Amino acid sequence: MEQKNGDKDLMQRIARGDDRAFELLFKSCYARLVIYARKYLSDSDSAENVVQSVFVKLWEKRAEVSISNPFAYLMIAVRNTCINELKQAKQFQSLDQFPVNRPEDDEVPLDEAIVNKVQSVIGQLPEQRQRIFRLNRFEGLKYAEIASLLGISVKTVEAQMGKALKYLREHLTRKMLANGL
Amino acid sequence: MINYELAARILSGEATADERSQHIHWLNESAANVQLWEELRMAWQLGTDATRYQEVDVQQGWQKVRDAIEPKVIVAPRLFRPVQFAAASVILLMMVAALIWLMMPERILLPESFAVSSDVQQEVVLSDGTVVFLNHGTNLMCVQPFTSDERLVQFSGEAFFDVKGADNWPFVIDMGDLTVHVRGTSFNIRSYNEAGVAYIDVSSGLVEIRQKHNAQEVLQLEAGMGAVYHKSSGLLTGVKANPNALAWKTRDIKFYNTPLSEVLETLERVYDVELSVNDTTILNERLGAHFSQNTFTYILNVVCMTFDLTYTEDNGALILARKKKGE
Repeated sequence: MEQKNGDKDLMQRIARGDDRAFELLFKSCYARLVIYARKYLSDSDSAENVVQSVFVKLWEKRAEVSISNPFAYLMIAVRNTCINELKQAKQFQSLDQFPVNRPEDDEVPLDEAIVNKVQSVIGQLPEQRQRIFRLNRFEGLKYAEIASLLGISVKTVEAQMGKALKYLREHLTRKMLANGL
Repeated sequence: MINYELAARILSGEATADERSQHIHWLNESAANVQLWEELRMAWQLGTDATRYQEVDVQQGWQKVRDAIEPKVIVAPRLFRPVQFAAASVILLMMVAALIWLMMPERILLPESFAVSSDVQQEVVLSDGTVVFLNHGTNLMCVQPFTSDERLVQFSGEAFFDVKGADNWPFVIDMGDLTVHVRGTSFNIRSYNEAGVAYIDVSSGLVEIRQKHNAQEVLQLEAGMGAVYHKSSGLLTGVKANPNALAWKTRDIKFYNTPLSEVLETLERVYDVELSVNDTTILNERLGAHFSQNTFTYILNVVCMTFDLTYTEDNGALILARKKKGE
């Protein structure tokens, strides 16, 4: 979302009902917004549903809203929708079942270049370590579940996760990200 | 010396309560510890985000959103008939679209032409949210979605327009000799190609009418006003809006001491019938009545009973006559 003039033009086309401009906006923001929603919601299906509903609402209100920075607008809309979802879910769940990690206010939104860099670092992990990391971080499996799925001990899962963290920390420092990778 | 295994367990929520409180204690020991933990947390978060990013199916997400926002053009189902395209009009539209394409070199996407030629009443919703309720025998053509600085519609027939969208985005209806410029407003146009007279009746907002041969002169119409245009003489006059302008759509007709000549004209228009008389003195009778959702036959019978008339059918046209004495 660097090109401000491009954004303005895109939003004007959307305001005038150009569904192909809307598709462009969707495709450039969707994945990043789903990741953002995942910080509030524990499963990927509800995260995707929230982001989709935000886009549908934006389309319905396209003639009335005036947006200069669409990604910032969408992030706020996604955050508010997630918080509403959590409030509704509260009636059925106890508080401590919510994810402990909440997004920090100063957090930088992901961009394509950072994602590519991080993915290449993960790709450098040995196959087994990569698989364990993915099962835990994407599938949301507990250490014990991963151990029984792969037929290894929980101790091994712990060791592999520790090594994965060490490798990420050594290859993804703030300085590295700031220096354009 | 960092215990990465413990750090990973804390970050993934696997740590025991004991370990967590020890961790908080450790954080409180020094600012350096806090900074170190921040770095770990950031690397962990990036790894988590990137893993999830890879698995997001953008195409599938787009399909779902697209399905939810369709249809862009709604054709009222109860009135649905196959849309007929006049070949010449389609060619014209393709030329219009091509022209727009050439005039806007920075555009990558070519908008589609949209044409409705309807033998029945139907409702269409255009890309800007504008609703057009078409009467039978009406042609409407435009480029969809609207993307240029002017929303241009080619039109003949009769329709009620409820124009939506930004005020600074002109909506222009081209009817050949006349163009109508509107801004967020609703109004009825009756301008069949084969008829000698065109009528415009404004329900809300503001409408401007221009004649092609004299574009300087603008007739402005507010809500409650109307215009009559005689095609042969080119005479354009502002009038009070016809209270029955929308009756073809609402089936709500009001007559206030109205000459029968006008009553019959209104019935012809609303019910798409042909009416005539065998005795012109009938046309001078006056009627006061309010009909709502009534059939044509019902209204015809009321008129006949009121003025002691009978009717005969001839080749699809109805001819009214005075009842003979003793009949």
